[in-house]
Amino acid sequence: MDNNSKNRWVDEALDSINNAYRAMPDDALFNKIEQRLNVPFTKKKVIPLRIVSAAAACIIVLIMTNIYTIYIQKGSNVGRDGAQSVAAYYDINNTANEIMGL
Amino acid sequence: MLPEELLLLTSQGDKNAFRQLYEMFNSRVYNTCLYYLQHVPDAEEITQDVFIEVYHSSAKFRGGSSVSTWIYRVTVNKCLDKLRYNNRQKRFAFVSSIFNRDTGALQHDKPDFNHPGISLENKEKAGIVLNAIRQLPENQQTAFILKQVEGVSQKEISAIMDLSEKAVESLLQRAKANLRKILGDFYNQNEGLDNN
Repeated sequence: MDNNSKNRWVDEALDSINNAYRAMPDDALFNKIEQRLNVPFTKKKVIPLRIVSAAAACIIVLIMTNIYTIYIQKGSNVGRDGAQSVAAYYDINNTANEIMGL
Repeated sequence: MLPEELLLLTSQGDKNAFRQLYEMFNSRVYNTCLYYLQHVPDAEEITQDVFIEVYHSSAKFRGGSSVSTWIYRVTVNKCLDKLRYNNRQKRFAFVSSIFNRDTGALQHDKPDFNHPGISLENKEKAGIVLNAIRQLPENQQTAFILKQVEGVSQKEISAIMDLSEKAVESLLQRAKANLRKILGDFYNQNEGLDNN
């Protein structure tokens, strides 16, 4: 595969769209446009991307704060609650309290 | 009648002037849409959107540029918006109902596009070039389509894209270089193309 034949093929490929003629839309397209023009025009309200991004960032921060709070809350209780529930299950409350230093 | 006059009459509600304006620009708008979107129904939809925008915004046209430049600018913006929308749809396709149960094909994948203005003998090669154009960055696509396909002057492209002429020239050079690279890679991956 030599570079000349590759370049020739690339040139031919690029030329293939140079010789194209302009495509014409369907004759009925103008009627469709007229029909749409007869419908009362209401311009869509576009919300700027900046506001959407800011709202998304706020929601993410809120969710992360909630998750963090739950995590911290659970982390402080998990040792004691876990040990006490196991102790209660096996009815060894005193031993558990000794282990926990209570 | 000049496009500026037709636009003025359109802004006063003259439907006949609007029709003449449509006749004057419909093939340019539709053809540009076809090269961007490479999908006939999408190109028709955006052509409608462009002319509806032209009709409703005709009163706001201040004549800072030619009507042709303004209509091309509306067309380019609408096409790029549609392309971005299509890309978003594709990205989320796998989350929503991705697969068509009958064929297993991705619902948002569009079939290969055949430009109606390209002769039969060039269809295959043109299809490869169109695919390559789709891989270019947006601004390179715009510069290339307007220059190579629509034959718009570099000065008008700079007005449409709101860039300097030098910047447009640079975009065109990069677009051509990238296209040559993409097509060259395609050639390397498909040995025997040289026999066609």
